[in-house]
Amino acid sequence: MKYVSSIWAVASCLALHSAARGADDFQTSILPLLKERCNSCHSTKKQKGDLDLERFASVADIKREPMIWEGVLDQIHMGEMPPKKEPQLAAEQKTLLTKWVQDRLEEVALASAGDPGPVVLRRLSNMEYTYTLRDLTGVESLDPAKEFPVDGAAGEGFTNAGAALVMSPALLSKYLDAAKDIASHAVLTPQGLSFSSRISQRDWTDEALAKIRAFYAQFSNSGSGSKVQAQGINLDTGDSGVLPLEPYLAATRDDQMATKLNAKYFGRLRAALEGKEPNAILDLVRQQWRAGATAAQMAETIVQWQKALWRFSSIGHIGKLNGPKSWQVPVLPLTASETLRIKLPASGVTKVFLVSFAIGQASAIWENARIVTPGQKDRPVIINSEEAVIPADIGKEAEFVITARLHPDSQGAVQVRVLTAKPTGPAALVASKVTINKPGKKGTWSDGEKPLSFDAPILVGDNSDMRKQLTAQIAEFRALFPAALCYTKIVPADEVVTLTLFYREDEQLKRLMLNKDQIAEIDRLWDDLRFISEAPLKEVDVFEQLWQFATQDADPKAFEPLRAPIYRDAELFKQQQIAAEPRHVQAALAFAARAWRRPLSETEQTELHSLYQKLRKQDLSHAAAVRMLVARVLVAPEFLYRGEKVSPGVKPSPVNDHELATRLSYFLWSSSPDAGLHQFAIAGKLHDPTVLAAQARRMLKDDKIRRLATEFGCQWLHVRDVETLDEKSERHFPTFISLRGDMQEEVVRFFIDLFQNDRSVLSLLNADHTFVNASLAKHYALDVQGDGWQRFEGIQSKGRGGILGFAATLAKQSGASRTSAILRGTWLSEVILGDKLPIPPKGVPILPEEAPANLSERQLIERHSRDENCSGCHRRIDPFGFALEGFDAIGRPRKADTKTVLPDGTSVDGLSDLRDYLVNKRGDDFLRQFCRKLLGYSLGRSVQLSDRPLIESMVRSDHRIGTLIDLIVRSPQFREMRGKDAIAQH
Amino acid sequence: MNTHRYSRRAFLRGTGVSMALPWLESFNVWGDEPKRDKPASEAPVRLCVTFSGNGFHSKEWWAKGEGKGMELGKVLQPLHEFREKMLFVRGLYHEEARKGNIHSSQTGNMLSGAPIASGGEIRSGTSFDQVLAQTYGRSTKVPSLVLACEKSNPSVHKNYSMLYSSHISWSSPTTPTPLELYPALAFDRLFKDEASPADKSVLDAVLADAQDLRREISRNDQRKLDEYLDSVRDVEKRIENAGKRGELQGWRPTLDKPNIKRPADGIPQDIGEHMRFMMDLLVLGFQTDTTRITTLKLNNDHSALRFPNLPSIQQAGHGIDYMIHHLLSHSDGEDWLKVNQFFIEQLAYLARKLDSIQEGPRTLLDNTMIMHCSSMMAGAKHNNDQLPVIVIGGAGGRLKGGRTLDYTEKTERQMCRLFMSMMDKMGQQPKIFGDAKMMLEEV
Repeated sequence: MKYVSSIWAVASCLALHSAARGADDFQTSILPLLKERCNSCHSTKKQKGDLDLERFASVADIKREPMIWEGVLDQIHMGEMPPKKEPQLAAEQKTLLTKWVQDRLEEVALASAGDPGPVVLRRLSNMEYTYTLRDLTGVESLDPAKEFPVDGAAGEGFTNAGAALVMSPALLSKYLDAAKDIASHAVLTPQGLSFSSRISQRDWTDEALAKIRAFYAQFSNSGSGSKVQAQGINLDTGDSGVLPLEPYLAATRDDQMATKLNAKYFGRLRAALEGKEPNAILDLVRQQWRAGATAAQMAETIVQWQKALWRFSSIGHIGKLNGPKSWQVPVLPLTASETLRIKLPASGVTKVFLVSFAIGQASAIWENARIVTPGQKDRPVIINSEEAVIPADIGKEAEFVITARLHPDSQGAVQVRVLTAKPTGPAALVASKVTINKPGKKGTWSDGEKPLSFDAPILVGDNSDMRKQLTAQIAEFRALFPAALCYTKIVPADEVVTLTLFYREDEQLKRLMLNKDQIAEIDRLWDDLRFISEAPLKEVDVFEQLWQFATQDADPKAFEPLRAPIYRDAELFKQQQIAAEPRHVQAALAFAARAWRRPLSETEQTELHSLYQKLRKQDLSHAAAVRMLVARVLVAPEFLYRGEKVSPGVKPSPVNDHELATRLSYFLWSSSPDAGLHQFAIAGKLHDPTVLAAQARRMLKDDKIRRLATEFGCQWLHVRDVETLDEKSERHFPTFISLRGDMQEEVVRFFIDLFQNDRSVLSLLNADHTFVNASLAKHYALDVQGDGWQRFEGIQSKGRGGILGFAATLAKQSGASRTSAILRGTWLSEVILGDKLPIPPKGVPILPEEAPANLSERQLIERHSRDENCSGCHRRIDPFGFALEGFDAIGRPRKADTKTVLPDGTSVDGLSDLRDYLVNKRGDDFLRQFCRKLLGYSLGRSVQLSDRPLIESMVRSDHRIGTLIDLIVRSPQFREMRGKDAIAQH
Repeated sequence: MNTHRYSRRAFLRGTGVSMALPWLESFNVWGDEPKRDKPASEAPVRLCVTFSGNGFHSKEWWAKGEGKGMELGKVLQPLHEFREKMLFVRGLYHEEARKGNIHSSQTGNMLSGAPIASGGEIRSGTSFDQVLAQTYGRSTKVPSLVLACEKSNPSVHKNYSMLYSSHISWSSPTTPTPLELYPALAFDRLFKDEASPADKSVLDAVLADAQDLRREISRNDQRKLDEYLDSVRDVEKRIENAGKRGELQGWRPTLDKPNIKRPADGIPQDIGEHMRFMMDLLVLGFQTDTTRITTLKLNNDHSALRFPNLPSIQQAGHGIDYMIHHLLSHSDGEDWLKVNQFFIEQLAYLARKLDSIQEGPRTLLDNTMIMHCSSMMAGAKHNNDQLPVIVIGGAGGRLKGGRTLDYTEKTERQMCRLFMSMMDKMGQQPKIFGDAKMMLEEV
């Protein structure tokens, strides 16, 4: 016994009045007719074709099994019954019988309208499984079902019907493997779990790094960075994370620009430029600003001073004995005395100039001027006022060396320089060049910091007020213009050996630009990096290796100060890891709730916790156990199946809000509900049809509607696999392989447009637009600009428009090397219009082996269809195909005879006539078929008699896709399920 | 935990209510050990069912005579060397397959003879290879290996799911056995050990989930969920049995572990290569006694394969690339014959391979039954009042080759009778199977 909607059929008998009339007719006219014309073969004894009509003795009997009578009607309508060799029904007899049966079916349909119907438990289809996992993890590259067996179709012909979605031990093993594979993408973070497209700690670390860099990049420029060589290795050094000076300076004169910049820093800069507090260095910039210098000019000044007042040290040296404390180090070019040196060429320089610039009342004393040449005795040079004369024979590599010191009577400070050319222009403070001195003896790589020297030091008394003043002014400048906001390289490689795996220095950025939330975010990103990379643990290993390494050719003691902090940090990190463990388990539970599309019960939470404990006892590491927990969630029936709790009794009842969210989400997105939908389910509002319909409208606009375009639109049109179709002869159609993806994409884009812009479903037939890229346009002989996908208006004038003209449908319904009017006609008739065609007879005559050279494809088919056994059907099929003969087997335009006479006698010529015919004469059939398919897809089952009223209301609507979907989601069949005792009785 | 409850139910579903009772009487399915009635030192009988869609050339599928003198039609020519190990059976058919649509209704019940449901439902019958898998097959690591060289077609055609045209093997009336197309994954199924205790814990947990879920859903849904429950149990059992093999005392398979490498990922470009890869694997499965039952669907009924590498006779100088297999079958021409022979050549490759492996006094082929069939006689006619079928191999000395049997004139000529005979060779004697009530005595 088949599934029957018997409960509802019985209820239908309540329609007493018409039933009574039907009963009268049944006894007086119908039963006799059946006895005479049908029951001789379809008797209880003979049951020809497994059909026994004799057992139907009353109207109630008939109404109890409407499916059988739908079949009877189909057979009569198709002219299959009575058999051709038997006496046929007279026209009035045929009308009487079909009308009567039709009326009874109508009564059943009305009485059982809205029956949720028998929906078989649905496993996620391969595509649903894939989309769901992508949405759950946010990782678009996941393709877990790639090697799964292809799903079958059932119901209305879609792969989302439970009956065709099977399970087997082999498939279950695949699900387990896939679940473990997905879990291997889970990244444990300090706060919980996230998912990555990659599966190694190294890659996850790189991703965490990239996030930090991206954060920094919002605020800073990447510096040019310079390469240096150290012991034969190229190392990165120099600046990165540079303050973008020019835009900020320019913005001080352009309010529009300011809105795009960091407000915090901009305000500070502006205040500093407008400030009146004297500052020996800042005043140089202020003068320029007031004088209207360009941003570039001001930036140049600032950069020079940044270079004078800051320097960068090697990260590799930080923390070492005598090492620097940070990457960016302030420089203070103040001193009581300084020895200045300049290199001299062998000849050409006869004089050097001693320049000084006083701040306040101050002067310099120059002394001990001399020529220093390697391998020779120093030669004193006589100073004459502010010049010194250089002897002629100084030889190569000579240096002029002189000591300058502050005059003891000075109250202020004086900047001193030695130049080889006489200075021009007004005297001013200049930015000094800072040089790191070479050590006197050959050092090793473990040595610490080296002393600095300046070419333009400012001489000032050691404990003088002036020194305090200048120090404060310099600090103020530095605070406003750090050489770098942050160290964006993060991974230092600026020394032969660097102990730090990831180096963070972003105090300047935080201070100058970030607000509280941004600080919290960057702190979190760093915490993630540290946690994901387990850097503190790795640094212990690195330290131990370095120690061994250093004993060979350097002084390991230099690294001793690092030992304790590294070990302490590792210890702290281990505690952090342990402290984070419960959060990971909790995150796996939260993941389970999303994956299972509903909140977890207490029992489920307990069970998941205890599985984690069990796995730990099986010697799995924490991380492995958490991933196994994720895998367990993904191989569970709660994830793989869309189970719905059934209510007792026979009556249908609404599914709960979470189940409804799942129904809606899988209908429109082939995936689990998003946060928005989930919120409505949690709040218990989704069962309100208005709320549900509003959600549907929202979802139709979303990009995920592409999935409905593919899974419903393409499957309905039978072009879901065109992108991989391997059925065309490459010899005949060499371009097909490279075009097939575009062909399907056109269909997908057409449907997306239909859904997102709420168009009429009739536009599937009569649209004057389509979507093409350059290759498809070429295929269609259209003239378009550009390579990308674009909407093409006016396609009707090019002989296409709508589904009839898609290359995908035309190619799919063709042979490997030639068109087939039979395939195209059958497709149009059955798939697009929902006509019922008789099953082709067995033992059809054999087609001629080869089309004789003088026959066209059309003539070949006409010859075949002329056969008496075939012509009945082919007259109904082939003309549709003939009208489309203007397209070859891969959908290119071509010249062909496209004149034909359609089954109802209408003469047409080509696609445009055919389209007009379909819209004007078969519009309702087309709509009915579309609605039937959409409803079947949404419910995951075959459409049945009780759905007829809903479908008719859809056909009578404004035909906009939004309206149709609205009608579906509000319908009882979409929102309810059958009671436990209502279902199938076998 | 009652481990028998589910296999028992699976079994009940697997046989359909009307057939359940006779089966219960005849089958020893409740015990852990399958019924054995042969000396333990002998090699087990293996079954390999192969299928190709769309029938054969309307005039060239035939065999005449006996033994060495057997004459073969052109389609079967490639099997000439095995004629003395081959049984040619003419005239068998499936009554149920003559109803309904062409193709789908002819194929979905190829190995069961069951009625086929239409109207968006999926229902056929448990196929005889799977009945054997659920009994005889239980003593090996992999009860049965179900392979294919063409992916199935996800659509509904003329009110019948195309699942029917692409699945001959059915684990239950509502479960077409999912097909493995990837040689590498078929290799894994045979030889990868899933013995991690963590896997086992996860499976225990999801099994409990499924049992909980089962209480809350409708009866119909319960039946569907049972596919899942049965699958979990099966995988768990495999984990428990990992490492175990060949319970036949005194007999040892000729190979301990695979002697070929895991095939490359992906599907071979060339269809012939794909078929031979799958055959190599199934031979390896037999040779290592990892499985004793395999079903290999070489292509679909309604197949869309093309053969650009096969030189065309009708379009000299080109490959047979101009028509897909299904449409080519309608032409019944020389190229169609050539494609038929190509399939039978692959079959000969399999037979040759099995025959080259010595298992004691006999070859592996002598211990095997390869049954090749199609769902119609000639693709050009879609006729299935007589089905093409041959059996190659000796079934451990129980099947005599070099014979042609003709049932054309007999009244009881159900294909299922042949299946009953073959099950008998493997120690299973159901009293009824499909529409048959007795074996073919001659077989």
